Amino acid sequence: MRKIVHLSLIAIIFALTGLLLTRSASLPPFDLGPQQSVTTVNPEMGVHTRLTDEVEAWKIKYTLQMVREMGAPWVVEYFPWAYREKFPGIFDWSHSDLVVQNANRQGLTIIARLGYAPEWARPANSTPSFLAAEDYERFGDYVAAFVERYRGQVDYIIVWNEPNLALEWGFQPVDPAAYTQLLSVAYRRAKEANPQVQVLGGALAPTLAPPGDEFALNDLDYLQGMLDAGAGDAMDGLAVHAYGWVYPPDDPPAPDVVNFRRTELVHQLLQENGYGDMPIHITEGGWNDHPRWTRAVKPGQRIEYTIQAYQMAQEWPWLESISLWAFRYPWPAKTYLDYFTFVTPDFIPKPIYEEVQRYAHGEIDK
Amino acid sequence: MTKRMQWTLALFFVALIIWLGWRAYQHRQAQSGLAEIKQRGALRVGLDASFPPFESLDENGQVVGLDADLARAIADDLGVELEFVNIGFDGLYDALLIKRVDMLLSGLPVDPYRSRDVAYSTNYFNAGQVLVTRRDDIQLVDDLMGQTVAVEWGSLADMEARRLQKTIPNLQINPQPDAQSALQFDIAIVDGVTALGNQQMRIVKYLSDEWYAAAVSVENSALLAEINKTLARMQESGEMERLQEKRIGE
Repeated sequence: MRKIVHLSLIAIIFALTGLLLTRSASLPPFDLGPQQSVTTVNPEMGVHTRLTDEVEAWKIKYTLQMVREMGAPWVVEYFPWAYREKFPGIFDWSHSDLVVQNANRQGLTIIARLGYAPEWARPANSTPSFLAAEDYERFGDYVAAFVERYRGQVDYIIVWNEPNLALEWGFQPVDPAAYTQLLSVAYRRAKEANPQVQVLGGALAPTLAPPGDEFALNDLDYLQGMLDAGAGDAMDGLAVHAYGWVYPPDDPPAPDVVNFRRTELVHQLLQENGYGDMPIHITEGGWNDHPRWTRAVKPGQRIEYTIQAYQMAQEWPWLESISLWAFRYPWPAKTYLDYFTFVTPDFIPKPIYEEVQRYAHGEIDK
Repeated sequence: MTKRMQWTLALFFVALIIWLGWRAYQHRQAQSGLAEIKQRGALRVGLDASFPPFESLDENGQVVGLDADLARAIADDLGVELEFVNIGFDGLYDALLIKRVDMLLSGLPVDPYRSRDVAYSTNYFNAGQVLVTRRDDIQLVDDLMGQTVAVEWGSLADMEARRLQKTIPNLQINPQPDAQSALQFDIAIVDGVTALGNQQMRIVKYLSDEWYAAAVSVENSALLAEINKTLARMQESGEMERLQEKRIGE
């Protein structure tokens, strides 16, 4: 009899543990509201949201509602692997479901950034941007599971982020061939799960760091390295980061300058390598209006440059979308980073939000 | 005394000894930072000297500004030399946490999310957005009804004005290219530094707060107490106000 009681207790504990680990299906229902669509004069406009650490469901909904009301049909959002698969093979989709469902309901197109390795998938004392080559398939498992789950809801994914920075490559020397290998695994697994999904590679940090630099590699050199390693056949499009720093958006491009039109050099490089038709998505970029940061501009300039950049993007036939950094943070960074945003953590629209909204609604023609 | 009572008492004494030991350890940790400064004979202050009037470099390469003055007063009260460590704003907290510096004093906004690692002194300056005027009839925010307020276009002052516009009837906004231009008009919203730097305008109200404070490692409570003592002394004696007028009014 005692043995039966013990076995029953063990069974109950297992069942409860299982329930806890797969709690995604048991979240209370959340009212997504009616289906919406975006009103805008510029269907390429987008923003990078920062909902990864946003806990409350209503804040996720309200953020995405404000994006829609501003007139931006595209959002880039981060879906960290470590948050979704805390234990190997056990996925918690509760948070990503909230983001994806709310974005879809607001009529927004999502570009999902995938990366950030969980502890179990990497060596002790490594950072979440580190992944050994023998573990690329583990990341592939996550990519496949994500793409499969959000088939028809998320049509674009970005593989990793800024791999041309040592910081984003696990503090190892940056390696375009190794990244291409990771991209190829992710591409194959994504296409197996949903052949329609568009896989974006790159998302390189714009930098002039020369070969051999300890911390980074020039994004154009890195992209050439990727293409030499076969990346052109392992991606459907290229994600580009296009920060303007102190330069206006029409500042001419040059290999030794980091500015908004550096994106044209990226396109040119693709063209030279036979990939001129490959679409580009700007998935980060924009200007900062911090009063003292050396790479910032005045608030009024930021508004003008941002609207000009959205307009210029429409003139580039090879550009599919432009999502600027960053719509809103869950809490204040208390640094210059706060001056990249369109809306405060308390949902107060900054003047740039209102001016971009006026532009998107056709009320100004700058 | 029963055996059970003896065990209970023994456990109580063991717990007491552990607790006292822990308190002693904490006290030693708190004191050790201050003792180290005194032994070294120098207070190392981290700042980003690119933010006048709080900290910048003069023509001789010396750090000058309100924060530099406060740092000097703190070092004087501690009876040690002052050593500035000029660091980029992004690296300030890291420098503090790896003990490259003893404290930060760099126009640093208080960030409650850092309170696990960092302790802040009492606030010494509010850089938030301020309603200012040279007109006597504007005493309250509600007096803005039907008035025009000048702001730097796109700035946080502009954001505050647009917020007020939603509740105050007929409030007009006059957008200007910068904060100094906004001060040419009778009513303006500008940041706290710009407001204090203009003697002709009267402050009506702070519309938002952006408090600056010094920061130390959370373990360094003895140093924090000394910093607070100096700041309180300067507030009470009027020295803080004089310094602010001198540095910000320049």
